[in-house]
Amino acid sequence: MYRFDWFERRKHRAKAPPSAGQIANVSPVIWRLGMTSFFTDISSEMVYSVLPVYLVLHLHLSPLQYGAIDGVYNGLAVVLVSLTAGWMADRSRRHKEVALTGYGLSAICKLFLLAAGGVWSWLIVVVGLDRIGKGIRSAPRDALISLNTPPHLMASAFAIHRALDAGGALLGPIIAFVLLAQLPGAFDVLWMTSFLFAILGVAALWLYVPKPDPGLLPLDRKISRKSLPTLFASRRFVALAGCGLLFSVATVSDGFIYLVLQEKGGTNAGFLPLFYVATAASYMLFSIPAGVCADRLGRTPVFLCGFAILGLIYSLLLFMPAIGPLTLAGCLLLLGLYYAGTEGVLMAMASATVPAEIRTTGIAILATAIALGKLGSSLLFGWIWNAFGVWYAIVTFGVILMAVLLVAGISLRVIDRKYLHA
Amino acid sequence: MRRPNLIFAVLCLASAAAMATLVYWAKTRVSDNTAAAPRNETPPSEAPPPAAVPTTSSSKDTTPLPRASKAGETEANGKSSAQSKATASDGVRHTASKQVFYRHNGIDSRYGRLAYVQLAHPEQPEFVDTLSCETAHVAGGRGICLGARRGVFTTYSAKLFDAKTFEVLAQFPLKGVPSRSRVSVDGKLAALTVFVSGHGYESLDFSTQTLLIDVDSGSIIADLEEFSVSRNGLLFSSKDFNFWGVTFTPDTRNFYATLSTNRQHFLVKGEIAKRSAAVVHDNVECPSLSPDGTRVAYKKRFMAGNRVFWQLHILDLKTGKETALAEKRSVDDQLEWLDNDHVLYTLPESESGPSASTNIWLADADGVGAPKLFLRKAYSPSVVSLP
Repeated sequence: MYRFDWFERRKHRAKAPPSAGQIANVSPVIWRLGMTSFFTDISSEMVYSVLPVYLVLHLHLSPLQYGAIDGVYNGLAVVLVSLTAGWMADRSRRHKEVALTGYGLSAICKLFLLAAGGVWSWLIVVVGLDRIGKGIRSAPRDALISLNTPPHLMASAFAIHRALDAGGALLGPIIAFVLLAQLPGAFDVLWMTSFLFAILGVAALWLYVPKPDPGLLPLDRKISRKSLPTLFASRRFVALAGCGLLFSVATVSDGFIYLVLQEKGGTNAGFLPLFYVATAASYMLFSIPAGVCADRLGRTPVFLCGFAILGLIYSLLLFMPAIGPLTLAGCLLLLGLYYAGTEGVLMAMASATVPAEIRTTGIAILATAIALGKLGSSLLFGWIWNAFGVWYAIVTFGVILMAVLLVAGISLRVIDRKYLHA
Repeated sequence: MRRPNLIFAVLCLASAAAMATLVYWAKTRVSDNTAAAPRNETPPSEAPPPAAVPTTSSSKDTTPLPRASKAGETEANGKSSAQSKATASDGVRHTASKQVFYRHNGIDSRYGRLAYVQLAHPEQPEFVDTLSCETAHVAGGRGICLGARRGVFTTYSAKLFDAKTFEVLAQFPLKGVPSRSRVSVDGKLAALTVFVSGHGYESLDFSTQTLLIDVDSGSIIADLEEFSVSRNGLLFSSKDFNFWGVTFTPDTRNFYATLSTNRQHFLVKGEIAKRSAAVVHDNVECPSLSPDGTRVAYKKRFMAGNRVFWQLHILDLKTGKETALAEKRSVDDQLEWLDNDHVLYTLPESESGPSASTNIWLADADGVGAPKLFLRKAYSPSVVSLP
């Protein structure tokens, strides 16, 4: 077993010199966790990429009803679940078991889909349970990633995990559409295939991922309700959670970006799944290089660059008179690059600031802030789009993004300086 | 875990084997359905593969049915045969010989194909192997078929075709998922509705596009959102206008359609030449005009909690009187009139199980009498009177 206790204690007092083979230095546990997410993402993206078709075309639900199914569970319920699960994982020191529960629940849901058939009320329950499973597993999994990685490699570790995750998101829809093209209407086969992939994901986690090193979690530092204030005592963590919230408010959800691209480019709505696939491909491609860059050159600059790229996408949407295939591909490539530079890097930055014994809770709080920000962003963008038009919406978000970049850049710099001198 | 690699390898192999079995089973299920021919609509197993038949595989020349009815026989026997058979099968009197076109919805190798039956011989479907449609409509010797090409990404297109030869006259790409289609009685104009909504929860406000098409030239003559709409004589306009479900008047000068705005669903009457429309009634979705042009059959929206359901109604356009049909299940379909006294509509095959398959039902337009099963494993009916 690796002992990273030493790294943990060193924290940020002195930066470890960047090594050449950074990827090789990342613990194999990360690749195994990545495989878990790879299989699980294939499984869930298979289902979610065809669910609209299944519900609207085959069960004759209206898209409005589908919107209701999908929208309900990305809200507060899951957020609460993830906080509770994070707290329980820290409290019991059973990160792996909590993560297994989440992955297992989502896997079983794929079987329930088969049983639910076309009954609308059952579908709601099943989709809800699946999302709850996602809420349970995400924070303990990210905690496992960070607990198996020395702080100076964290961005690389998260990058590897997210690259494999994106790989699953890339393959899932492709497998689903190939299956449906071969066997039209055979949704039961699709649900079963998805279940099998989910089982592989759970198995990879169960068999290959060790429990976090007990050396990192000494018994005398058991957490209680009193530990929460220590979490917020770290200014850097508070600043990062704030950044997470503000940036996600300034981020237009991909769904909207795709719609704008589609509207401006005049492409067929049928191409939308391809947009997802292209973004996932770009994310997968750039994730590891971006993570390594973050560890070597500093995470804050890479993180801020990621959002600058988002700003570039906004301006492309605003100022390109017409969107041809080349611009479209460029936008999707940039979108993947934006994810690569921000998502895992922020998790790495936050993980490095939270003590090991309360890390899952810290990650869950950050994830909650991001989820709430996204919710607000979608509501705001949707409202402005409806009330004033899409161009006003993008301009507004561009302005918000610039302001947030400025605030985040300054505050992170100030806090970094204090932190290093402390 | 002692031997994680071994266990994982075994699991991988087991999953691969299970997947292979599943796919194999699903494939055989598809061909079994074809072979067993449990329903009227499914062709016998001896039917040659679709590729062998260039345009249509009619039961006449490709399937050795014991009592194969030749097309000529139907014509020769004329009205009396049609009448007696139909009366025997569904208790409805028909004075003229009719054909019903529909989308074959049985899960077999012909899933999604355009098919048709003579009303007198509903057990002998004929398949148009060149046309796969999500929805289709035929009238006046012309047809429209909104199809999907499913691949890694799905694209949709509209095809206009000749209803005798099934030769495609024109086709053009669509911007979204096909929903409704109609051809005018004279076959000159067609209308279609697609969902342009993106995906997922952002598109809580879904949006539709409804186009009018000149069939002969295959060109789009109007998007209904360009029409000027009036309500109580005043100009009426809003950003959230969505139109769907066009039905043409017999003279093809006017049409009826649904206009939705601010969660209301109006029946509008449109005048094609003037590019204008006027609100004539409230809470009417997917109107379908009766052959005599006096009534509109439609689905009326009700809410139960947060759930939408639709009940079929008939609106008398002169008196404004609404009659509820005997069907009490929720129907999400644009109805089709079989004749002036009967309507056809589609319901999922099972109310609880997976229902990729649907059946067409028949109800009396006066709201009396129980609905009857009309055609199994079928969707999107259109009724054509034979000369």
